[in-house]
Amino acid sequence: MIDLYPEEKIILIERKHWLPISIEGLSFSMAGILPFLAIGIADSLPQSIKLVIDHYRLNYLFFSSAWLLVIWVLFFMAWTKYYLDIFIVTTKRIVDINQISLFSRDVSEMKLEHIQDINYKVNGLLASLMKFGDVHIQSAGEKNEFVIRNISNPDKLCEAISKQHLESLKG
Amino acid sequence: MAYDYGKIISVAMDISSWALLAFFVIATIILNYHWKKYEVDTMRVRATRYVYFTVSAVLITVSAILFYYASL
Repeated sequence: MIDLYPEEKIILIERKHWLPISIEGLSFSMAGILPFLAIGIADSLPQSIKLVIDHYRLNYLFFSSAWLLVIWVLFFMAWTKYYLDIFIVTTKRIVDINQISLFSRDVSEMKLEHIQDINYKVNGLLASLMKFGDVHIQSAGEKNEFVIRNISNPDKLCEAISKQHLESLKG
Repeated sequence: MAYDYGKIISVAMDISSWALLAFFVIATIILNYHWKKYEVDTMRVRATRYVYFTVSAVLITVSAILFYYASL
């Protein structure tokens, strides 16, 4: 995943919350079953359309199953993008891996001693209930601010980073 | 001018089945590359790969059977 420095240990690995990918999955499944639903409601369609569907039923089913396969692959592309989007806290630094698309990856890191301020925001009822939000980390480094959006348990993440930051200052 | 809908659908099926196969092979190679490169040994990726390939195999088989019977 990342190459660790000597004596560096991974403290925490966090991914984005599962809710946005679940909503995306739900829309994919809706799109996937749509052609099959049309077969179910074929009886209520006009007679001319119903005749065409009846006559080319096997062809229609072939196109529907092909469409389902395309949707299946597209969902896994979205899932892979979600899965490779990771935030890592180690004993020396924090690493934000942002998978923009399948062939576009943005990896930024910040040394723990460079952290100046850290806070998190939980916006809305759903975010409060499902425990996800945005974490903002200000630094003295080249990249002034890290923003990690829709991360699970932002409070725990902030706590872990603050604890590691204090330990890095002591060390 | 009367269209031969049967012929049009048959050509569309030929084209779409080849396009589907090409899309599936390319997408699977890309996905597999990512799964292998970044996290090869975790249980979740293994389980995901298993689900992906199993369901894909079922869908491809169903599509192939439908293609065969629709082409008769």
